[in-house]
Amino acid sequence: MKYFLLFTAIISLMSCEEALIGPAVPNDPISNFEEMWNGYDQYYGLFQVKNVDWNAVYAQYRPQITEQTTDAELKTIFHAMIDPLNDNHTFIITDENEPRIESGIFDTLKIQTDFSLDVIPEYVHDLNHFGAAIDYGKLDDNIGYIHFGDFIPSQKYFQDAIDVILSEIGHIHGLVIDIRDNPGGNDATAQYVAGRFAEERALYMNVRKKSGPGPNDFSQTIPWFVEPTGGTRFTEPIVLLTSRWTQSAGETFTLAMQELSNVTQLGDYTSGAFSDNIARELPNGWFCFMSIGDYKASDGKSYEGIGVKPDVLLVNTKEDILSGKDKELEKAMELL
Amino acid sequence: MLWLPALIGRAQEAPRSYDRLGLLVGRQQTHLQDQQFSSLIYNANELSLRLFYDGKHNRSNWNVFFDAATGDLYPPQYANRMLYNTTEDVYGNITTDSFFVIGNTLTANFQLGYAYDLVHTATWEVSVGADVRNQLMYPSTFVNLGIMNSASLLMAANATWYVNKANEVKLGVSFPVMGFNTRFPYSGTVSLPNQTLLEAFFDGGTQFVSFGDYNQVNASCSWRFALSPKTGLGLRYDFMWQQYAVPSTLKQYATRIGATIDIKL
Repeated sequence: MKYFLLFTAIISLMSCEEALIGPAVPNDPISNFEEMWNGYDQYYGLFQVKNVDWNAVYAQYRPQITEQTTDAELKTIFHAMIDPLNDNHTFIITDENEPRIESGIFDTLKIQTDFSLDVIPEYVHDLNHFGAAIDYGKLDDNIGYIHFGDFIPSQKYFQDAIDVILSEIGHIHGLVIDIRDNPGGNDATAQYVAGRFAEERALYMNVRKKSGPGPNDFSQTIPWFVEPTGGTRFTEPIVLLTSRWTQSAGETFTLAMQELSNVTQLGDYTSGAFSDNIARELPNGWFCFMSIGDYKASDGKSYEGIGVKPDVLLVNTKEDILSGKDKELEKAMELL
Repeated sequence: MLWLPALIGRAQEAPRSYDRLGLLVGRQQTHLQDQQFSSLIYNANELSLRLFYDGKHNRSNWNVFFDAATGDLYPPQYANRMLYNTTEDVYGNITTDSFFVIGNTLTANFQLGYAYDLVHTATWEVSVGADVRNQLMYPSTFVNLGIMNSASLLMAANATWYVNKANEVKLGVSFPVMGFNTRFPYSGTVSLPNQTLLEAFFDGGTQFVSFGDYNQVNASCSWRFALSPKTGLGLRYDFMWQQYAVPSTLKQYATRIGATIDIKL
């Protein structure tokens, strides 16, 4: 027994963190700045698309950082650094109860005023729910309505949901798909869902992601196709409702639906944040989010920071919504 | 090593045969740094369980185990870190959500091993052999750090000292020589056309590794006391250190102390 205890004690003494893992990065303003800048330098995938010289950003802001720089000053500098990226997938979260440090349109666009799910029952008299992500029902004039709240659940969930919804709605001659508050989820799930409304196969985006720290280190480009999926599909006319709050996988879904000849996109531009993003953590515990990919539409162009342009541009006002009116939905019904 | 052939030569055969099934319950301390996602060092204090089989038939030694560990995972300097999310809807309703940023670990190992006694005396055995093992690390944190699967072949060596009829002490060491390791690719994300996230994780982040790319040392020390000819109680200490540099450096070490009970089948 004494040998066991002796051995255990020796091993425990040897097991010091610094020797086995290495020293922790110090938590001071300069180290936090360097970690932040290096993280974006090595992982951010859109510097070329955004035409931002990140080295010039370093040269401009590094001299402003000293050991005396306060957290408030650091936040201001970080905001100034990421602001030119104009990227809704690029932001910083601190542990204070304050708005996150944004770089895209959400820097100014704080509240969605052009859509509220609470208004939908004015038009869909028996709004049903399938789990937490889907609402559906029937509009007047034999038109169906499906609201995809996000694309986070599994593909199986959407497979089951669409089977049930298409069966319950019965015969309709048109369908409104509403993703105006869809923040995204899984691109492959969105691809599957789009396939439930497809009659043809079509390329809708090309994706490459960062594969190394160098500015030109990218994976091979992977083409994404929309094609018929699932058992039952709806391929009659569809109006897809989008807004500036349609983000990420909601936008790649929009790109896929745009390729289908039976789909008309109506509403506002989408958010303009297509790429997957990751979070990296600084020594001070703040989280830096960043886009790591370069997503291009089938026309070869990047719409990061721009969004997908609707076929019919029409945006509800705040007053419309507060008065229980949804002009976009009314226009969609008119088009169908 | 010069003493080894002489010892083997002098060794008197000590027929020893058993099949033991046992359970270990222990506490494990894990320290993890994954530079792909964070510069911070995360610590975990985990509950660990192991179900094991040890078989010995003369000079042949078999081992099979499945173990799992779970516990809270966070950088110790940010144990009480909170994040907030304040939103306002079109009607002017303001909502603030807040939550503690505390992750957790889930580590699981399945191993099948064989070793052959080079030294086999009444009081000493020294064996060498190989293990095949699958190690899954699936921590859940705000930044996805430390997620890894490793299916590897390890070289192993063990020394057992039969102190007397009731007590035995065993030392073990092993290290991987080759394997298939899966981590997030450099981008830190997985999404591929027509694939689930799990499929994309294994499809996009698996690669063959050999000694040097993937460094790991496992060491153990255990003591067993025979309560009866059929049952035993014991203590066991395990140490694991690993370093894997693909796509960015991950370093981890874990120590575990546990109590064991086994029965002879």
